[in-house]
Amino acid sequence: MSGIRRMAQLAAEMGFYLVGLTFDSQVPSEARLEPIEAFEGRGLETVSRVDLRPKHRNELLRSLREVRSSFDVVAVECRTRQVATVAFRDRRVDLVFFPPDRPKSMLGVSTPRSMRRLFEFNVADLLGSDLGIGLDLRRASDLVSYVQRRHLPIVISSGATNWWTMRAPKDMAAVVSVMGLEAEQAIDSVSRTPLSLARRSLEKRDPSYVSEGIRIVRSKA
Amino acid sequence: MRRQSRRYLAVRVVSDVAPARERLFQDIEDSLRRLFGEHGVLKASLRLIAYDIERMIAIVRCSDSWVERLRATLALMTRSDRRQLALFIIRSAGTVEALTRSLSIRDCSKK
Repeated sequence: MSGIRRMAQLAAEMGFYLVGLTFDSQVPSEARLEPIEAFEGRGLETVSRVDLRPKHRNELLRSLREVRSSFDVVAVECRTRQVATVAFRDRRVDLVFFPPDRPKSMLGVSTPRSMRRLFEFNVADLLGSDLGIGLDLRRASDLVSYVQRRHLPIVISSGATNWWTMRAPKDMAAVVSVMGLEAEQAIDSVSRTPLSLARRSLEKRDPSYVSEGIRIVRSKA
Repeated sequence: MRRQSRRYLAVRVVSDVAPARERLFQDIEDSLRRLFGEHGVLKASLRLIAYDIERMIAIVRCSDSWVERLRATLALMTRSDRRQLALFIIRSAGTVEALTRSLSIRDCSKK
């Protein structure tokens, strides 16, 4: 069984309802069909996603112009404060995340006071070593307590690139719950919050959609 | 003294080759130890009740108050018996009878 098909089977078994499939921004839409069909064949809804890793502000703005219309969800990795400031405020960005090697002290500096985007935490970042003990776990724990302290909206993703890094939604919630996130918020971060994000993105596929809160009710006859 | 409340969990083992019963339990316990320490292992009262190698489903018992922490431990495991694997809980119940009945588990590892 191919890797994608195995992941699709496992996702269905784990009780997923909707999955976000990350593609490289250069991948043409025809090439995205096979993995999408593999997941939809298992009865799962899919949203296409792209992860942008810009080095500076201008690169982010250029990439957003290029990819926004081709993907349902746009996530941005914030390596610098400049990038974070734009990513957290730009309406075209859906998710923001920090690279796993981000030092704790930079967190408060990078996140603007008025944050409107969803913050993402990947469980796969903890699976690099045999068990995410030590620095990785400490960093993740700091991240979670920061999110908790500032009441930031958070999405927990598996960040899986293969079948053995896939994790069930409740298990991912348990990981962040153990790190100090309130149980209810942890469950929301794997269910309600990502689902509402996906629903909003899927709405944009509708031909009547114009902009947030604006849709065509009746076309000109 | 009141008996400690326990919970039984059906754990799906996803791997190319099923790990041996003893090895799997040892690895789960080691992960729990690394995450919560020796005291955690003691408090969790972990025990492998049954293991259906054919269906790759294990039944694990733990203290009622340790279910979430065990979930996290299993989620952070990526290896057992020197092979890549993923573990996730498919069902939980208050008695082992209720759990085995719902899954119709056969303990193949004891044969």
